Amino acid sequence: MNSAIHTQNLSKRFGQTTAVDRMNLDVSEGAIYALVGPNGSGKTTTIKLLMNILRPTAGRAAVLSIDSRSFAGKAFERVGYVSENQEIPEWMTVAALLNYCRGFYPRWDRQLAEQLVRQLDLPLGRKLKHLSRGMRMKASFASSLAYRPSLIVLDEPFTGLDPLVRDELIEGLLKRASEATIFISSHDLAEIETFASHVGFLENGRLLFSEEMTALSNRFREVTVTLDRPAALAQELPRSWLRPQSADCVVRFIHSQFDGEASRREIAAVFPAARDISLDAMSLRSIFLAVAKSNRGNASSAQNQAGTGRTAA
Amino acid sequence: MKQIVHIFLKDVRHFWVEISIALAAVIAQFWLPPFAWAYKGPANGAVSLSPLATATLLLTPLMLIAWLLLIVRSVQDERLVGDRQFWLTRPYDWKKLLAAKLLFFAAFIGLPFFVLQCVMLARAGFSPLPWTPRILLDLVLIGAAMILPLAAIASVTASFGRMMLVLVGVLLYLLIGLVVSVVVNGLTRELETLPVQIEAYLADLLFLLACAAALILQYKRHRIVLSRLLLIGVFVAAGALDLIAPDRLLINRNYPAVSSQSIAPLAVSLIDYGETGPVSSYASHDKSVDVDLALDIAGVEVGSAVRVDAVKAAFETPDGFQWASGWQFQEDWITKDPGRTVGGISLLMPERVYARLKNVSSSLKLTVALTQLKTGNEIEIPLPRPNQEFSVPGFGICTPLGGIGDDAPALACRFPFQAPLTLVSARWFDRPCAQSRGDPGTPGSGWVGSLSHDAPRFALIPVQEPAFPLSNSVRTTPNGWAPRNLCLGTPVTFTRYELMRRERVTMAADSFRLRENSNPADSNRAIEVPRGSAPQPVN
Repeated sequence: MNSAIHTQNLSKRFGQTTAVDRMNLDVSEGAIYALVGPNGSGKTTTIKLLMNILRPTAGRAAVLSIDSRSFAGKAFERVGYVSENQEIPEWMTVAALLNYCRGFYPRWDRQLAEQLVRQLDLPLGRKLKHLSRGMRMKASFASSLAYRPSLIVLDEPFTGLDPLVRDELIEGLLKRASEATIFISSHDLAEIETFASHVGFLENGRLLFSEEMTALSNRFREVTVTLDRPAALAQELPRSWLRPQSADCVVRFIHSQFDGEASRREIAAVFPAARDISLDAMSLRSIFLAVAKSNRGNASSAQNQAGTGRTAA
Repeated sequence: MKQIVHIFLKDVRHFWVEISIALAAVIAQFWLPPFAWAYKGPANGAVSLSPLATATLLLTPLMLIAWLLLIVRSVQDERLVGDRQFWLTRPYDWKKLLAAKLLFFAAFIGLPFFVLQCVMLARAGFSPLPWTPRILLDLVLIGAAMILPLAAIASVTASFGRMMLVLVGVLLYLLIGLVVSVVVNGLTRELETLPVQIEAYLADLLFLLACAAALILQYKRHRIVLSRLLLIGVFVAAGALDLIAPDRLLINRNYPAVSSQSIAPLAVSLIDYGETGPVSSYASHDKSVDVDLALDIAGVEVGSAVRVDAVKAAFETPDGFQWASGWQFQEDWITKDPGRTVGGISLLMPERVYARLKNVSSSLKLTVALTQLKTGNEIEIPLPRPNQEFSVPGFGICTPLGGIGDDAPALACRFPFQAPLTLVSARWFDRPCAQSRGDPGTPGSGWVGSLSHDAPRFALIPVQEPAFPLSNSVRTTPNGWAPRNLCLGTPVTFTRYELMRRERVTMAADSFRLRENSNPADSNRAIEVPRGSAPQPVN
């Protein structure tokens, strides 16, 4: 399958600060790729590099098989971009915005635009500056989907929106999912989990993992081991066990490379006095928190551990 | 083309208020200036603006401000600074975006300007058609001098407020540059008569090229830092070029040095009055003194004239004190008298220099830049009745200004753009015209226009109506003075003068004395040839 987005050692520095550090990313066509990470991890910078709003310091990126440095003009006819902090022409009404945008896209679908307006309940006659933040996002959304882009890029689209608007946006987005690749950065992990097919985790500019959502869910387990008697944690635990904690007869950790029975046997071998081993599936949010905390607690070792994850979406 | 029109129409919708203001200012200009033409000033030979016409002068700044708003707001509607703009991720073609902005400027600045020029010429009585190339040339100049720099600065600033701050900074820079220029080049006056040559515009061309480059760089690549550095660098360099390529270079290039003998029969000499002659007069300005030196010009051939364009002087006192002026431009110093003419050269010097030089015998080297002119077309027209316009082919439209009956105390003329250098001469009569038959009258003449009248310039009004009072317009009476009259049928002669050659002559005096004036407030520059002891020309 072709790549909608491909980066190779993509880097961006602002003075002494490295915002994106040697990122290797591959987003297949048709994927719904969620780029997650804490504030300041480099998500927005990555998207701006892909959209040729910023120029990379090193490395390269290709978007829809076009080098990001020359991604301009007609190339944007195939991309729908919505960002939480995008400055839209607020003096326009919603209708004027849609009419204006229509002039730029030969593939503009009037029926789809009308459908989006109805679906998102947009007030056509009101000026954008008089709309709420959520409404402005929806208007921006409609103006970016009505021409059936091949790639939809969303930068924190749900931030600060109420649940109803989020649902409307996600619903609108999913209706386009069959005909487009969606690349989305978000903090809203619970929402992402419901529809993303792939996920990448970015921290301090480095892509710690990037893989299919199901594979990610399968390889992370919250492990609780109940022992016969209190015991100290061994000095050398497998590196894929994150945030090990011990209290009385209970040991907890996150297994980041869970592999069914093999992992269960591995745990039993480390804890021969185990009375019970429970393995619980984790939500994306729990995985995100575990990885983030693990990295902050022991940055170097955690990075090495997470780096063992697969990086192909 | 579709995208260009699409963006253009969006700008029209967005900026209809600004467009309306700009067009209203232009339309007001269509109607109001003729009030100035129709107004006949007081009977002293000067043409004045009516109070209403004076008020309309405010329209020009209003129009310029409206244009500034249009340029900046239009460019910044697709802001090129920042990374959050909606349009950055839309399929804009940078060339079409830039073209849409140019179309906007052409539609709401260029076209109204063109129509304004044509209508004003027509209202002033001149056919616009022969002047169309000139109007278009002026339009290009406005584009280069106003639209391009403003658009370039707007493209590297994030908002109108910041743009204004930059403009304030530019003005400050120009002000500082002016002060530095005075220090480096000496005290100079504007010279308007230099021929158009590339050196004179080198700094301007450099700056315009940088503006164009920055604009394209911004639209094509959004290279904000590079564009800003380019603009700042070239702006500073252009200023420095103006400083380090002073008038000296231009004068030297345009006025070849010749010996005083080689211009014979023309003779130009500095007059040293010695101890017995009249003192140099001076006017005190802020920290500077305007000193008058006397120049003797003789041997002007019939059918020609000599104009003193600029002078520079170098003094050295016996105790080693030295001072050299920069080139200082002289105003309206033209003689066509084949006899001897002595005129005052105005030399501005710092007060401290004057204090060192006055009453001290010093060596003086004076260099004079001269233009020799030859007569061209001459048209003689009998004067019509007062307030009756008459056309002077190749010159303009004139009106004898109304006095009492057929008496016209002054003549006013208007020209399309700028008049060619012309000597207007007529005869004045002391008494009312009805009583002046057989009276030979008193000759009066006045210079108007410019040698470079056809050079493009940044002017919004295509009709000029300069004051050019003819000499001898008043006579002295026991009670003071009284105006003379131009009478019906009096021949008025319009003699056009053309460039013959330019020269630079240097003369020296070994013991020149700047004498202190007993009346520092006296700034009268008329210097008479002293009676009795003849002054000694110094070569």
